[in-house]
Amino acid sequence: MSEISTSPGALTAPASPSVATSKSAVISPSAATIQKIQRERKLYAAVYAVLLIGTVLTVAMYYVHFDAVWQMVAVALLIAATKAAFVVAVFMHLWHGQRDIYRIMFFTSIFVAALLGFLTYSLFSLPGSGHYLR
Amino acid sequence: MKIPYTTEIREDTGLYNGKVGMWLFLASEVMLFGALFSAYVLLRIGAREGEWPHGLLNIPIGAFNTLVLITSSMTVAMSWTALKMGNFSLYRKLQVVTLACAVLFLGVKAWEYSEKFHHYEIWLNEPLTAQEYPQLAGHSTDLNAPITSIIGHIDDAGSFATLASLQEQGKSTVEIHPDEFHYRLSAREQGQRRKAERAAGGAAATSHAQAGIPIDVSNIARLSAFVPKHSTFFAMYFTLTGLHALHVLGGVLAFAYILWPASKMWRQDPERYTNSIEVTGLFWHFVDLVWIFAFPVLYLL
Amino acid sequence: MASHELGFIRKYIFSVDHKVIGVQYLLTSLAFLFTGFMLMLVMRWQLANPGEPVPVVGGLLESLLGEPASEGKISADLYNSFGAMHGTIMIFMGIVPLVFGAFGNYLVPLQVGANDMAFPKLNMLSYDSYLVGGIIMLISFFIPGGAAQAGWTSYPPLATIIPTDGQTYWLVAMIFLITSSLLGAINVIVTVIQLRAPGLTWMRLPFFVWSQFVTAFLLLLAFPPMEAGAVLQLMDNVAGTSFYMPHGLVISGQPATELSGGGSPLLWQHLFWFLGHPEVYVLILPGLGIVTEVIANNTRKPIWGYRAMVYSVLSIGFLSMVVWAHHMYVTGMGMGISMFFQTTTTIISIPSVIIVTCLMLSLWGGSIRFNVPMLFAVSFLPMFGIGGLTGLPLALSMADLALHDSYYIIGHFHYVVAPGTIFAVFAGVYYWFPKVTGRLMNERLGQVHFWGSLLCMNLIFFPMLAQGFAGMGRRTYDGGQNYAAAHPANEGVIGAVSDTMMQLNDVIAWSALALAAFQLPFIFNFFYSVYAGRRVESDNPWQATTLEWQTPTPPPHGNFTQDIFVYRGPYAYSLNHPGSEASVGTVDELPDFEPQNQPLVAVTT
Ligand code: HEM
Ligand SMILES: [Cu+2]
Repeated sequence: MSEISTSPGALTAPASPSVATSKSAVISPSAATIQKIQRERKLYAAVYAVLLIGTVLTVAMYYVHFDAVWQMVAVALLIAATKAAFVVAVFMHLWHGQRDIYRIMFFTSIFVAALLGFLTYSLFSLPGSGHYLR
Repeated sequence: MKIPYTTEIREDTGLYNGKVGMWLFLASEVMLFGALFSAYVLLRIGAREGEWPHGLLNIPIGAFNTLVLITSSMTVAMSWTALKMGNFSLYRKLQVVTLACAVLFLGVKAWEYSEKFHHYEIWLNEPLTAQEYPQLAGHSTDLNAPITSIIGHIDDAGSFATLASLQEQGKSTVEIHPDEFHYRLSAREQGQRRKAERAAGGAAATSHAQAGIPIDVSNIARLSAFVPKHSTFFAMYFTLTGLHALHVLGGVLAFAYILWPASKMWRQDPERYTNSIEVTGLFWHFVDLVWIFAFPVLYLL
Repeated sequence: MASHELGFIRKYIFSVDHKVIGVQYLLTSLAFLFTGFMLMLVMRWQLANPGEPVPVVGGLLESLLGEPASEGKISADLYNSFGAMHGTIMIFMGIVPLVFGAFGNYLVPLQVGANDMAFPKLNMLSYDSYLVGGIIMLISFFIPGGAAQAGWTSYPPLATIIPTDGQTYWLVAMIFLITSSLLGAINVIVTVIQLRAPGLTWMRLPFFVWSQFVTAFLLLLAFPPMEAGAVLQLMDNVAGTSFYMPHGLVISGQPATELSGGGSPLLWQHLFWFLGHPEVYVLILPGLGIVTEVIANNTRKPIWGYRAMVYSVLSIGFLSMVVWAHHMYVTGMGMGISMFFQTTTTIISIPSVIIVTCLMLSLWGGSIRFNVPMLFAVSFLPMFGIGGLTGLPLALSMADLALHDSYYIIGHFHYVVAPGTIFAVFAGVYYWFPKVTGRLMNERLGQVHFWGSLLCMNLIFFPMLAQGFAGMGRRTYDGGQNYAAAHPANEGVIGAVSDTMMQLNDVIAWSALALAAFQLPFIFNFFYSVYAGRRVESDNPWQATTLEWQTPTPPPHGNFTQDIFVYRGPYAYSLNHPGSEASVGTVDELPDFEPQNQPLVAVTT
């Protein structure tokens, strides 16, 4: 029985895990890291500012007159969604491409949307409901 | 035995285990709160005319809590960068601020809750009008319209009183101080009224100073403090904010644990320590996110 | 590795080793499964003999539960409790922990070549949470008023107005059970994404791992809405809210005055079935995974259409999240919604059929070893087939209006879970037993177990399909006797139940008893073989290809003693088949399979 084992390296497979053996007791960031982190900090400060403004706008909206309730709902949710987008993208580091997490959250949002959509929709088929938005 | 990729990043995914795990947990949390918000929407839209109280929450306090939570989110994000730079003392300062914010948030929330518990709504068998009781002017724009329920404080009723408990105490009348000026009318209507009253030369009435209206207990159809049982609105409010507060509490415990008892890990395995802050931070930002939606939905819409 | 240093408690009770936790799950869930089965045995007997005291256990029940079982008869309330708990125990405490907690825990890390789950401590917590939930559920039998009575679906307002705290126990227990599933799901997904051995690309994963992976996602994303729903129902129960209580509700002629109004029973049904339907795929997908492994191994052939199966299982995973309202056609939620869900439900049967077809075709031309695991696996196919095909009429809202809440529904889903999933579980137990214990289970006892179970399962569930068509409703404690008496069949009333249909209750009761008897050989075999079964001669007694067989037997803490590198897909069988690439030289000398981690053999041309 002739048996020639090719080396694993010949295959396209992820390299075996490189476990860091030397446990350095301190983090000493490289110049590139420092630069990156400093940029990151500016970004965080900017997002913080956006969130503050968003909150002020949300409250201010309450004192503005809208013709219909659904308009007010739309504006409020738009502001909230914008704030949320900034938090997710920057604070939660989704900005830096993370393919697997995108996939998971993509499907999750489809399912939430389905839930929200059908719950709402199923109510409109009942008589007398939905006056709130009018 | 060591499990791979607890600290180091797996090449083909670009992630370490904890991060994947936390995101999956967040996905489930999105479904949890998504379902609650969907339920809110269904109940809100399905509610019949006049069944959904509006404007009973304290907006400035809610807005303040929003700012507190946003600030804590920012400090968490910054504290992670501090660790990345190897600056532990900056990290510690920022996290103390985070924890302070979180505790402040919970404190304010608790105060808000207790505030609710001794506000009352009384539903009447025989309606009253604002013509008879000028204190009720804020309950209705039309002075002659029958008013079937009154919102306000009840003297020496404390918290959580019910019709049954009043009857047990042998009371035949209760005195309610209408509080509607803060509550029943929308902010815009309040503004208009204040303007009108000032134009008419009178001083705008302040709610708590309202003279009491005596009500026969036999005339009460139902009486409820602002507790979950009061209405589906308050039921939703307490459920959502209560669940959210539990999440805040969880975050506080996790951050405090990492900051104090677990801090020796910083010297042994700083990478892993930094990761734990990133992962817990993800959770914290999510909790912040829930509030970003809960605040306008519950307080304003 | 370091396990010999640990004491008994750390090693077996509070273990963080995925294999020990898997076995804990296995034993606990089998015990629950048995409990649930016993409940049903009593119920079936009472249905066949309404108004008579239950022999043997009647007195025992009376002394345990008191009033509801007075004179050893099952009262209507107790029947409802038993029914609700049968469903709950079987689904949430039996099958899910069995197929996901036990099989998933034990096998997924082994099959992906990992040394443990990604988060061993969470894993332990997951089991503990399951145990706590299960115990709370069982305790509720003994509280005043007894256990929950509103069915495993717990529809309000009924669930909320029944005067027993059982429902509160049910809700609290469910929250624990859901937490357990969530932790388990996170663990499995991270393990598969992050801990696959080098070379184990996605398309080289055994189908079992795929099925567990998709199952984990269903658990992760479908359970939380139900958890939210449970929290709301809990509020209704303990805080007096009325999320699910419609305005103007009247209970026994009395208006429910303290209700604040504005709730919606429809809301619960949405939240429940958002979990409920994915849940039924949680019940079946791991079963399909087990059956695939067993079939590939015993036909000694690669699985036909492996890729198609993988894509099918992924589409099932996706679609099963958007079919939930097919359980709600009769609620009047509206034509538009019914149309949508009818469409998605019909579509989801396509990938299901693809998987079953692939498995059927995999049998073609194989030299099949009909050992006990294979018998169970092969019979799974037609049984699951019946279950799936009987689902199709239900998918169409017009047909469902007639069949909803009849015994036909019971027949439908039991064909899928009982001779379906449970047969897959048996196949899995017989198949992996030698890996876990180092000993084989007895073949002859296994044969008795199999043939007896197959016969009885069909005698139990096929008549139900007929009864349902004839109009017998589910969840009646007298088996429909009063109804049948009030509407004699010869008057031509639609939905009248004839005597023949009523007599089938006897057939079912006796078959259920026989089924119980045929489980005895299995129970004996299981425990006997742990100590005295025939020892395996190698680590790979079935000559299988997947990685779990490349470990010592039983696998030590940390699993593998060599570094794992994967060179090929999961089902490299039939290699010495004439015409196969590897068949060179004398055919008989070559083994007909290559384990996934065996280095490549040079192909001489
Ligand atoms: C393959 C195609 C399938 C279709 C088209 C289908 C369709 C349906 C429909 C429409 C119902 C609702 C009937 C009613 O309540 O009126 C139903 C009930 C049910 N199905 Fe299926 N099903 C399928 C497969 C499965 C599988 C694989 C399982 C489980 C492993 C399953 C388990 C159940 C259960 C447990 C119920 C009853 C729930 C209850 O009301 O208690 N089904 N099925
Ligand atoms: Cu379904």
